[in-house]
Amino acid sequence: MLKQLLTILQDETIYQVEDIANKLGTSTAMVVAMLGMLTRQGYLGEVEQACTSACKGCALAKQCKVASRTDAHIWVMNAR
Amino acid sequence: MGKSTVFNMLTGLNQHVGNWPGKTIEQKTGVVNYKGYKIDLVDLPGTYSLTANSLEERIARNYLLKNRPDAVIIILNAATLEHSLYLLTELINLPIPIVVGLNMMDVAKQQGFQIEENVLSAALGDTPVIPIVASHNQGLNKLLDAAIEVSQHPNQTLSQKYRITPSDYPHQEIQKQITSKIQGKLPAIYPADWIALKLLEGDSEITSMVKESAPETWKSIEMLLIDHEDTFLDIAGSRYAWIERLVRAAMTNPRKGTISLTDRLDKIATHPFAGLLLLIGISGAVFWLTYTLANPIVYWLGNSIISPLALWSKSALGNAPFWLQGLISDGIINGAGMVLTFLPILFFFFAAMGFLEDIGYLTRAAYVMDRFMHWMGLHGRSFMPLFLGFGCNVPSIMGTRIIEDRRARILTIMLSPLVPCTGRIAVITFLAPAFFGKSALIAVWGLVSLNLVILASLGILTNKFIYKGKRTAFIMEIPLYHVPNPRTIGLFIWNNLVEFTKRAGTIILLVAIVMWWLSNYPGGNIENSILAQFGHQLAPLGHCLGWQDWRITIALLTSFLAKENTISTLSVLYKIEESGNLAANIASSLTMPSRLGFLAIQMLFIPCAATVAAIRKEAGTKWMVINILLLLFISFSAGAIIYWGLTLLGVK
Repeated sequence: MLKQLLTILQDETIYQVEDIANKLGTSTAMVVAMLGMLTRQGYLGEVEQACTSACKGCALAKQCKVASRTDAHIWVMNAR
Repeated sequence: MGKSTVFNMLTGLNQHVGNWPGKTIEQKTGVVNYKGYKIDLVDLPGTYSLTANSLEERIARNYLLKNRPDAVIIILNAATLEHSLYLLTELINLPIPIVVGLNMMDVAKQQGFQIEENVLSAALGDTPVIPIVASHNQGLNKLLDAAIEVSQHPNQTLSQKYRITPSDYPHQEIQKQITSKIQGKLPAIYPADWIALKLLEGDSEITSMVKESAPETWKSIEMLLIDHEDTFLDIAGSRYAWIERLVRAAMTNPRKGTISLTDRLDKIATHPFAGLLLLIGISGAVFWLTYTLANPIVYWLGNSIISPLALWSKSALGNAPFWLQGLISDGIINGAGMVLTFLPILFFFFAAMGFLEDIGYLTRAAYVMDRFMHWMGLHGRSFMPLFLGFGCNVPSIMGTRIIEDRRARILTIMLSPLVPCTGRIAVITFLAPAFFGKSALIAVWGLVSLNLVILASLGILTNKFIYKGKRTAFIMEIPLYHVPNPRTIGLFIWNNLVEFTKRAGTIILLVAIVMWWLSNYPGGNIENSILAQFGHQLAPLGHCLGWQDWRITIALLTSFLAKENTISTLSVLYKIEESGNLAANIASSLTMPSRLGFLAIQMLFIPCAATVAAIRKEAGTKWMVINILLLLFISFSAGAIIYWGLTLLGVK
């Protein structure tokens, strides 16, 4: 199942977890679990969303929390 | 998972906190006195697997293998069972009795999951599975009872325990061959078949250990491993297949199969085409709402509060020195004070953004936009930093640190200033009604779109000539829609307005004072002032763009310090006598093409000083200079094309 997931991700496009779950015939929770494993193994990278120390010095820094509190998890393929 | 909660609940004050030997990871041990037993409890670091990906995982597995505890209690999160079971698939293969604590059963029930712990237990070879709610101290005694039971009958427990046997894995023959090669050559604490499996999984620590402990057989093992690359994917994949079978057998979700409101809404909101149209529509609606609701208040504040206050202060300070009178009424009240009239614009803008964020729409917008950006070749990690730019370009630049590839990072930094920040949006929203009358909304929307079109064009060109179409897969997990929380939205608006007001009271106020001084000295007459002399030097540039009044050029230049300074500077330079309606006075000195050209330049001009400093810090002086030159070229070219294009078309 993990290999199938990686094969799907070779298409180099953008996916929702739900799309992948439908393609694999499994649950979104299973896909998220496998994405977590691939991330720990370095196949994928999880994108940080909140700006942390970077916001220091920006007068409107708190505003960017609009984008950083979206709760979405984002992963990208790493070059291997 | 709740592992530490369970540990704290069981040990209470009988805890000792230190570090794992030779490591900086915290080690917690404790004693539980229960039913006459004195139980030593060790809180192992949280892990997802027993492969040496992290220090925590190495500590946990070495402790288990070297210390062979009487029993291991593994705490699984019942609400995300799939996520927690991987560790169990590894633990179950070790010769140690196990008890499973199924935590957060209350949350799982709330989410509609029904977990049959008996089925789970049977599937694990009668391994005890105890439902618990650690935070409410529910089920913990049963957990201890089970742990005591398995520790007292280890042989029986281990013989019953289900094992994911080699036949469950592909490459079982290779595993057997490796096992036979290393049998008896490694420290006895490591089961040989487990070592073989870890070698096939590419575990770096075990690989080094085998190299050192069995150098004579390593070459032949290495040859086998080279012939079976990527066995990790097969092994981990087979574990996930086992997890899926287990979850299907033990867990039911009665709500599965029903189409939720989120599903129905997302059919449109995340659709590649309909989603983009919806996003355009919603952004248009945000501008419309901001414009329609805020502008009457902005004008009321300007005409009924700021201007009368400035006039009143001038008369009240009639006997005061000229400089004090001018500084307070023209510089501070009329200059920096005029910027405070932006507050209604920002209030409605942030209210709309806060609402969209709180209901969960912004995540969908991010998904739709990213599909679009993917098409123009931008790196997947570029999206979030660019998205931050709608608030302020500084965190947008800083946020590019998450992009590992330097070329992609530099490109994102170069594009970030083209995302219109709220400072720019507030300036054009303030001026547009007087500049364009009923067409103001279309003009604002068009100007924001112009920035995004230029950003996209640059991205496409870069993709074509630098990245040559290289893309990466990008995966997004989108949460459910939420009912908006007025308190969260209110706090969001409040925080942003407070930050803006602080900005108005510092950099914007300072620039307004300096501008007032430069426009009044020497002589107290603006036309003979230092600023006027400088402004006249720049007049040829302004004339090319249809700005006959040098004050427009100066106002644009001061936007370098903060975008809102355009308005504070214009307020100072257009003087109190003229400023009954500041925007209308400015509009009267410009033709329609030059107004549009001016606002286009304002939107595309070099970013504020804080952003330029951020670019220098993150990309270096060379890229900062390139960025400034690029944006000067783009902004003035766009302004000139708009001005001359419309003028030649006969627009006045």
